Amino acid sequence: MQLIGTSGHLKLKAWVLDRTFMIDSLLDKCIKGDRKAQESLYKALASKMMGVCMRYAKDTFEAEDILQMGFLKVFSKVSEFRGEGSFEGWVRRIMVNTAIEIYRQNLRSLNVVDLDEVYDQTPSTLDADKLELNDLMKLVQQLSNGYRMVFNMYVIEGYSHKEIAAKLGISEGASKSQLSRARSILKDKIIKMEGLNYASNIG
Amino acid sequence: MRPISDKELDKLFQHRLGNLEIEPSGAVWKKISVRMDQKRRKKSLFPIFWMAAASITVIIATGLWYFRSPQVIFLHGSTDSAKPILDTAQPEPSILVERPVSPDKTLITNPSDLKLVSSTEVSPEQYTGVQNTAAAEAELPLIEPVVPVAESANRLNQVQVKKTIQVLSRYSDDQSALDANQPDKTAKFDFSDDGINQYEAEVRKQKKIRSIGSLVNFVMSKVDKREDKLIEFKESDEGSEVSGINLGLVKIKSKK
Repeated sequence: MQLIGTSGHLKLKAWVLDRTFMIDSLLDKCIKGDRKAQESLYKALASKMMGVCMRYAKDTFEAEDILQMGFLKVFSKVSEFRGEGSFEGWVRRIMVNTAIEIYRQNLRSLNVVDLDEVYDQTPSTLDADKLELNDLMKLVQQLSNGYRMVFNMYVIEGYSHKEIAAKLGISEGASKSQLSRARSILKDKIIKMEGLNYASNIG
Repeated sequence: MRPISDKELDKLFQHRLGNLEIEPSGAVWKKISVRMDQKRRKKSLFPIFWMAAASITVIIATGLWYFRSPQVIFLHGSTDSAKPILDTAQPEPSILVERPVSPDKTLITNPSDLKLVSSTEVSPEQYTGVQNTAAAEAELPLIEPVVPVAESANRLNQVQVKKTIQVLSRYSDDQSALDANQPDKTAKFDFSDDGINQYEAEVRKQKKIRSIGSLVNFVMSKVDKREDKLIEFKESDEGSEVSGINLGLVKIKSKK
């Protein structure tokens, strides 16, 4: 059993290495505008980035819009990637920035989002814990736009309140208060949904 | 039900959602590739469009430049450019009457006065050059030697001779009728020296408004209050040319 376990681990490692090499070799072709290389790059990163976009969007359609815009930016700026840090991290930052951009555009056009609107079915996930993940994702998506932005940026992306304030054009105090509001909403909902189950899982 | 701490909550979401992978629908890639095709087409079309626009601008600019110089010569009262117009252009009576009289504008009051003036006074007395026409009146063949006739090129010159005769006959036969209907173009090159100077001064005044350079100068004087304007034009016989540029730090000025 142990042997199988290690070989499986090695396989996984080799696959990860393959993947990073593949991405590196693809970059040169992408810079030259090779469409096939661009498609391969997209295919390699799309599902990971969709996971990021989903957190920042209120539904799948919005997430796919962010994904589309983000990848267009990636392809137009791919020559600017200097190899500092991973390419995946660079693409991820572009996705987050695109989400922020869209959020701010919507703010300016006074797009009022109805919090009680009906949500479409979340797409199939690759993870085994389907239900739980779907539930958690829904909780995040159901936060109001501002709370969702601050919560994602602070908790998952690891931005400071100062950075969030600068990126969203709000005060640091507003960032802090929105984060605490978002947290308390999420806590309430988790407790309501699963009660002790979640609480014991965390511990 | 124990309360969840902030740390626990953050960990839960970081762990579960931080590295989540979700397969997007296939439509996303299609949209991306369509958008990139559009961008590529736009990119390739852009330089062509600008090159076309630039070349059209250059053609128009050079065209305007070259067509300006004959105009300038004409305005100075050249006989060569005035002659052919006699046969073709026949402006309306109102303009015709004004031209011979324009040196002293007091005379333009009503058509009947003008008729009188042009038929009697103007032709012999006001313009010294009209003496030519008066001479022609007496003896037409005298004019012929004026045109340089080389014997070998007789046929060609006959055409020119005919023209002059036609013109002169208008004045000799029935002046009162002609002055009302025909432009007195011959008067223009028959001006005395005073008349020509006067006329040239008038032309220069008009030129100030007409040339693009002077128009720019005029606008600049309104907009730019500095002594050296952003761009200045100088008037010369060939038209107007840039005489000074002032971009703040960089100043270029030609000597006057």
